[in-house]
Amino acid sequence: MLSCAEFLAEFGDYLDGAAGPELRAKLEAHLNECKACQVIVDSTRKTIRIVTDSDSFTLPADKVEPIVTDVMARIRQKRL
Amino acid sequence: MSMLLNESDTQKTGAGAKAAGSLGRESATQVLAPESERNEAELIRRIQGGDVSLFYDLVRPYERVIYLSAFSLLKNEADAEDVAQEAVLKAFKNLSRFRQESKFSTWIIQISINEAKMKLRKDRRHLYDSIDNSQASEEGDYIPKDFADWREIPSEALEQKQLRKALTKALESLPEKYRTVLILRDIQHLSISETAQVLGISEANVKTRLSRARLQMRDALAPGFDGAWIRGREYQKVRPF
Repeated sequence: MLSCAEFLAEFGDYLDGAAGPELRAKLEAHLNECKACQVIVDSTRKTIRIVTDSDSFTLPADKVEPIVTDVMARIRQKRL
Repeated sequence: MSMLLNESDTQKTGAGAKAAGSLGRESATQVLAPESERNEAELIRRIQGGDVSLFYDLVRPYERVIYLSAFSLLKNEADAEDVAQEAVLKAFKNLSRFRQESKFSTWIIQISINEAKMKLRKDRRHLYDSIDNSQASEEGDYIPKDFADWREIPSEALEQKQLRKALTKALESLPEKYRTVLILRDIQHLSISETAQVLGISEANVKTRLSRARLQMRDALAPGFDGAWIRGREYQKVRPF
């Protein structure tokens, strides 16, 4: 069976659903026996969900809007 | 407070907030959508043919990722805005060289990251530490902190102000190379291969950095350890490392 270190080295693909059948079986065999790694997988999944779905990284319109509009103004001054 | 997690921004209502919100998910979708790629190819041809005003339509969907890519390296709002503008201008000036062998999104993110690195080099040229660690090996294991369980996180907690603060703090605590990968992959939803291409590193390196970034975010956000957003709980270690 995989050690915890070996599990942690490979669990990224497992979290993304990208692990092949053989690797997945090895990882799940380890998970079935290891409470600590179960917690790591569970909590890391929750972390990804928090980071991905929290909408915390939405930029305010008043900050984002000027980036391209200002560049367009500079382009027009030079080119149009 | 960082612009990334400005509470007042996320609580906005009305047109401004809708505009800001639409930049979030839609831009990520457009990064990957084949139809958008076809539209972009047409846009690029017309811009290269002289219809300069269309450049706005080409770049607008990527403002957020251009800015965040710069911010992930610079950790400074004003610098990230300046670099994002320079990156957009550079993309315009060099659009004739863009051969569409890669996605436009990947190309412009690369420009943004390169511009941010150049600014870091310029700003830190009197310092001794090297900031360009993009080719550094991924030696050594990251040992995640061990907690008994995380089931206590309520979904409502995602709305809590404390969590937003914790997210800001956690993100800013990540080493640069991990923060950049996390932002490109988990926030901007680039694929592993796109992230590798943008950063000029191998896919294996992207995977390693992503795993470590996620684990470090997890550790930084863990309730009762560093997360001030849930109090009053004690977490029992299950392993002595």
